[in-house]
Amino acid sequence: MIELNELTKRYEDGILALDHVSYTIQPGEIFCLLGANGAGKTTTVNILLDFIQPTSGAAFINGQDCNRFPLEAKKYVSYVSENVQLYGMFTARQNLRFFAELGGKKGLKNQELDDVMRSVGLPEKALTMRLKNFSKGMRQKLGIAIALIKDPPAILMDEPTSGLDPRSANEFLDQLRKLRERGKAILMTTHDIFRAKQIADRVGIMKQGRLVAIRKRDEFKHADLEQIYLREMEAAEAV
Amino acid sequence: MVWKIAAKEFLLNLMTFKFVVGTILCIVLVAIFVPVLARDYEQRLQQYDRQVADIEAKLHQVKAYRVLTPTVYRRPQVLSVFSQGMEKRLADSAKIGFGTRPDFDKIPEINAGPTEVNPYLSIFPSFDFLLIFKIVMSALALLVAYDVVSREREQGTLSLTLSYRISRVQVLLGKLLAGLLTLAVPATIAFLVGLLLLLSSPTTALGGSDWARIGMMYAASLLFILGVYNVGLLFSSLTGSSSLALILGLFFWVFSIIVIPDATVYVARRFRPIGTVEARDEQIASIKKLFQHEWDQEHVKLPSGGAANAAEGPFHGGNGHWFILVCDPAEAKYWEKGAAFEVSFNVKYARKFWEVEHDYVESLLRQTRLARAIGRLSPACLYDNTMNALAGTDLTDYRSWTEQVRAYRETVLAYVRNKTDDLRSPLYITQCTPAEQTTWAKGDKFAEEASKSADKHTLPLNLEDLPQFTYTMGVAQGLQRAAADLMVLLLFNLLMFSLSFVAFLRYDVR
Repeated sequence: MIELNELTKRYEDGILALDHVSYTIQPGEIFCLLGANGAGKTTTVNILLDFIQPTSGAAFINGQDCNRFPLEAKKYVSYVSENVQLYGMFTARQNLRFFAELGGKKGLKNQELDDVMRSVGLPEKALTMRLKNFSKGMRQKLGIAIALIKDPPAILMDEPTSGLDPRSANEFLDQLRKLRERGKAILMTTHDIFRAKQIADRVGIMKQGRLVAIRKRDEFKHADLEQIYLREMEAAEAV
Repeated sequence: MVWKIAAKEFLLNLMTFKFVVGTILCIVLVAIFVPVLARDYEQRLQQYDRQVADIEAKLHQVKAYRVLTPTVYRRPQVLSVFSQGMEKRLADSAKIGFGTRPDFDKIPEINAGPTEVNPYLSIFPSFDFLLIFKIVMSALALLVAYDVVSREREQGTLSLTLSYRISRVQVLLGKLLAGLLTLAVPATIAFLVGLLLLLSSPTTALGGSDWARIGMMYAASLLFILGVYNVGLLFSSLTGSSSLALILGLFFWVFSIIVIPDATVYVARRFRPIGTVEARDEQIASIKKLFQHEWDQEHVKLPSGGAANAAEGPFHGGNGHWFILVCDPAEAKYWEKGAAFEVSFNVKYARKFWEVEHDYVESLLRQTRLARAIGRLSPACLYDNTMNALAGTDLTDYRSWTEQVRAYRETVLAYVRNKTDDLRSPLYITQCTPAEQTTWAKGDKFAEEASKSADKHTLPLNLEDLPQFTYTMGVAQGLQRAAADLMVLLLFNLLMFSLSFVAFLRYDVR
């Protein structure tokens, strides 16, 4: 569903952000990208969304080249960013309706919009509240609702749990599990090894643009993922 | 997609404090100043009507064609409420005389010697529509536009929007459409309020041409504020920060509204200098001397006479009489030849006088054209020129009026020639019999007695078929004069939007 093929990105200032990275994320799979700042996690997402062009290689969503046919590829993907601020003067419902219509869902009734927001755990009173009065956790949930209402086969999440309190983060992971059950292919970048261990089917460990390791759930389910991560980073350092 | 983006932006804009304040300010200013300007127009129109009625009455008393000297008046432009331009600073009447040049009551004072005035800033105190839009609406346009892209980047909605199946050009077009719709709200309300206030004045009547020109002014106003909005859009697309975009926008605003209009006049004066009014008057005085000299030389060749008694009437001054009494047969003989001589002689010199005045107005126009050409760097100047041209309050309109006056003068002269057998008929002057002369001369009160009697026995001329002076500016002329500036304003919009598009294509939305 999401495929990276020898993806490389070198910025104008010479920094190599991605170095021949390849992997595929299947439907119903949550793939967590781990790595320090500048490892290339967000660059990967930005290329998949055609915000930047790769230097070489290609990225595909549902078989569509993300950079050659970006509008086609975007039909099949939703995006949840680290900091979902949305439009503060609009209510949650107005925000959701706007993005639903951008995603081609026209003429949705308020009830349908409210159901989606309830399904991500937004309290009843929040549905008609202006976003400027939302907490970060509530905004993040609305971000998930926005991704859900489009109902695409692939979802990209860039540090979605950053800044969330533990309870909100757990609720967020519950939502991810539901999405997995619905067959979504999910790419989530994160610093949060603890959450990655809880939710990921596979983790990819990145260092300075290179994908240094991919570990399946079986490999870290009963192990200390943090130790694996640090070991892989040291190994990559030695190389 | 474009419409969805536009609708969202439009709604968000309507909810902002700056929009509410800008709209209220615009409407309040219109509500305060339109009645003032409408009252001013009303008073000027009443004065015009009085003057026209007065001249009509005086024409009915004219008893000799030689003293037929109608004065034509320039009707105040009702659309001056929208754009006062230079209307009140230019001549508004001209006296038609065959022996003299058209006698303008006022001369154009633009760049006139030490009391030079800035044609843009000098109208600052008159808060017409033009000024309200140039100051308030342009500021509002900039405030709406400066963060239209950068704010979305800062709040993360731009990357979210672009993660959908929507192209950047659609996003930008949506923002452009939203800007137009948003700014059209206060602009439309201001125009409607202004029109309602204008029409509530009992003397104001708008014709089809006026409505068409108001429609064009409305379109020009939208084009202007959209131009400023596009500049804000460009700065917002060029910079990643709203505060930097605002600083650039304010710099542009000050430069465009204040610096460029002032600088254009300075540059135009420097590179297209014109003589002072005093120099022009000196030229006219020297022509008058020549005139007198030649008159003295040529006059002696005529039969003796030319000292006819003149009775003062409503037309005062050198040529201002109701009639001329010619009693002496020798005097009458003089006038048979003298009238034609006098007219041809005066026409010759009138042309010289006219050339001096015409050159002066032309040099003013050349200077103004240069100022306008340089001013096209600023959308505010383009808007200024367009509105003045459409309202008929610019210098070009004044020139057209003076040309029309000149043509009318020729028409009246032809009319008089036709009526007086090419100035040979006694109708050209008023004659009396020798018996009357003898009667009136008794008791050394000739002039007094002559006036009384001639007033009684000499009937006024029938001037029903005297050609009437007309000057109107149609929609086509207004549009023709405004076309160049409107076109540049349109190109300015296209250029700014194209640059915004290029900048937005390269914009880092992350």
